[in-house]
Amino acid sequence: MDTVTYPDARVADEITTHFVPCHFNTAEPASEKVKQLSREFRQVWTPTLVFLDPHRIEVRRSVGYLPPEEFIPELGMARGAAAMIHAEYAHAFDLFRAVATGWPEAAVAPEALYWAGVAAYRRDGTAEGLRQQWNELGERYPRSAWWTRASFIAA
Amino acid sequence: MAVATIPWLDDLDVALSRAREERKIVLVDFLKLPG
Repeated sequence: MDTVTYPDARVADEITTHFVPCHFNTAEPASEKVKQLSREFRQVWTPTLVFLDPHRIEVRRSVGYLPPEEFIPELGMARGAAAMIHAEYAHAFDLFRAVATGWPEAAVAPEALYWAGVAAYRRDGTAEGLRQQWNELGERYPRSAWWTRASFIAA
Repeated sequence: MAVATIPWLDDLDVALSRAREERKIVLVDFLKLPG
């Protein structure tokens, strides 16, 4: 992450615009503060990225290296997840759609459509928007695990 | 091309406080840096 992903100008711009970045070196000998945080957030591998809302509530996490083309949409998913947790469903929908349309080749693109459907359902209180998103999920990513989770709507 | 620099903090309480003020999300990265 430090040699490829973080030096990428697109990544740095996204992080500085929407996130407060905080990092902890877990290499031994780690400080007592880092060990305590590692326990608190059940960190067992590096890199582990934990996204927290301002109330210290975890909204998403990612484990393992991601190149910029995967990390930028991952940041979008974290923003969408935070919006969902705070019941900002219209905003969450826009964020998930931005991932799905802006990064269609990213590994999280099917998941983005799944959650766009959930956000639409919570926003509207009806299933129409959910069906639109999940049908698109099935059409675009029929082999994805996220379509498996949504596929009952096709039954 | 210039290498981007991210202003990393090393204090979670400070990061959370700033996130509240700026309505942002805290990105916590547990990493291993060579000694």
